[in-house]
Amino acid sequence: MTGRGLVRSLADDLRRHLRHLAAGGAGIAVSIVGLVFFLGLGLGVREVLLGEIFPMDRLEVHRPATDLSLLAIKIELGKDTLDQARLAELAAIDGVAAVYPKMRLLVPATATGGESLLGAGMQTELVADGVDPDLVADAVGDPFHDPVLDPAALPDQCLSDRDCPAGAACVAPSSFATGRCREVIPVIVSEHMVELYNGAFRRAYRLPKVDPEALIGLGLEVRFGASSLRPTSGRVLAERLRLVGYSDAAIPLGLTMPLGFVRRINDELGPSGAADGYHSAVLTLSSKDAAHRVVAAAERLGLEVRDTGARRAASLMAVLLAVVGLVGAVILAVSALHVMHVFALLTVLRRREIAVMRAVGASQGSVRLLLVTEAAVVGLAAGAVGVATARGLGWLTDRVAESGLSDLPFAPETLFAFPAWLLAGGVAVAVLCCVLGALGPVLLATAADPADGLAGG
Amino acid sequence: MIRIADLHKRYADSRREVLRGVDLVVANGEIVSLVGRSGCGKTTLLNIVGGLDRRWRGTVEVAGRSLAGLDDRSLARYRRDQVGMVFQAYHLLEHLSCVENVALAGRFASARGAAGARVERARAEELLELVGLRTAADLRPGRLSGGERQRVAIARALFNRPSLLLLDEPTGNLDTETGAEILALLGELHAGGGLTVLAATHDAAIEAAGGRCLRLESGSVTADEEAAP
Repeated sequence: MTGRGLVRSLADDLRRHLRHLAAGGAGIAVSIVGLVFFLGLGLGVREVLLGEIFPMDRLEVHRPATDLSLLAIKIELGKDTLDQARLAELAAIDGVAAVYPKMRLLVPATATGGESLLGAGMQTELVADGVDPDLVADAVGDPFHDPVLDPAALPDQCLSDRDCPAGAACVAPSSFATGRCREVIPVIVSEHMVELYNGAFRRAYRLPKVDPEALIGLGLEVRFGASSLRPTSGRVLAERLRLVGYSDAAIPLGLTMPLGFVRRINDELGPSGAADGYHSAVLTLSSKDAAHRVVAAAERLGLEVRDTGARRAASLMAVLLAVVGLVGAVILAVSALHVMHVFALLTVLRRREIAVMRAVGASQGSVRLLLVTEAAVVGLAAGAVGVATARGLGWLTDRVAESGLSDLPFAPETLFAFPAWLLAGGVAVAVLCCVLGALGPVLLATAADPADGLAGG
Repeated sequence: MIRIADLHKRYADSRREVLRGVDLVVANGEIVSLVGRSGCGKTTLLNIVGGLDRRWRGTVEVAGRSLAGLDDRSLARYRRDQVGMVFQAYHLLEHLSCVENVALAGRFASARGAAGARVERARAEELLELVGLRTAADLRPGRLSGGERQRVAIARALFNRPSLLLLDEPTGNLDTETGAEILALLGELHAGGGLTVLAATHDAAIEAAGGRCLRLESGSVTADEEAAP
């Protein structure tokens, strides 16, 4: 049978049996809607859980300290830091794409600022970590650079910011001291901090709700070595910090600064050895599937994975996706039976037609090709409609959820993920179900001799 | 040449043999009428010779080739290239126009044998012209009378220039006048060029037109004689 002959016969048949075929395809389309919608929902929720709330594309490992409990106090014994050799071992683990060390700020610090936004200045103790700017380069980019790597020559004395060049600020450790021009230190925060602020915190303190984007550029005066919790007597270093962006690699509560800057502050103002090792390391994974392998290897190195619930969330999602897939498969199987029934009916109705085609020279193979292609076309159309409808329903659900979840912290932009493989897979499964459903009746109908079909026996 | 020897056929749902040891030789270009009562095996014999029925016992050779040894694809090619068949019930496809019905075999030609849509349509129109239905080319068979449908069926049978034409009661559903027209048409076709014709019929006129008449009774050939003029 030629391609042209196939197309002509196909067009004739589809036109003629449109209602029957549409009835068969509708069942498959509905099943594909259910399958793609729920798998998309599962994948979307998984993406949010493992990508934002419990990131699984990276892991943070640290060296557990041995503690000695003494009444309510725990006394740390031994080192809990990672040295360069240990970082190199981590980088060599199969499945680890890159290693980014982190260092805690081990110096007390206070931060003040926020007048322009909140109406009154606020002062708080500062909790901070230092991370390698490369870790957040994708999310924040150039503004989050390490000033220690490329220090600028700045005037020693100033009275206000106007006396300092662009990118620098006039800061003084106390209101009585002379100001010095210092390069403004870029910091990033986690978006969850803003969500928490906009949720319960602002309500408790009757503060205005803030737009995360409007906070970019917010400046804070920080005094390293000073604390409002307990008296300090050492040297105090004043710096100006500026918020340059958000990243889920930032610590959940506190500020995240360039690693080199934190190392320098720890070195200058911290206890002895405070800048010698790293407190943890973020491992980016070559794939999410590598997580279990990397966790096992890190544990063999005596390190502990900071478990944010990711593993439990991943297991839960795997079970949920399996259940969704199973239910979808059952629905599809029922739909395939429906298609089988429709095609069985159609082939009975077309028994004489099939016999005539064979009488004028069509082989069994040609007729089978024609009928199975018909089924595939029906599956293709049903799959496309099903996938498009599932995406539409997903969009609609997002819009409904948007209004209901807007005040919740961690509210995602979308609850769905429709990767290309899911959409293509949805269509492919529809085609497969239609072809499999039609195959039995088609084989049966074409097995008979043309004489039987013409006789109606 | 058609050579049939010791041909037996029994349907699966019957204990009775429809054909019981039929022996027959038909020369190229011969017109042979198969006559006999309903159920005597005429249509079954035509179906077997036409390659529409594969479940039988015996020997059937057409142009020196045994039909028993042909697989489905070869048998399909045989039906398409060598045989033209006209059925008592016409068996035209109602969703296709007359010209599409006539050219139906073209859809199932192999890629090498495909002639192209325009050539196929031209051939189908030429055949409709031959049977006097050129103006009905784009009509559906449902709009035609019984005689016209039979003409379309004849045109379809001739589409691939067969060497063997099998006719199953070609005038069985027609009035006398239309039957005579069909008969005249078949006479012209045969006169046109060496077509071997095997026709199952009750029609005395066809019997008379054929050079030879075979009588089938209860699945056996009981008489093989020159047709009465």
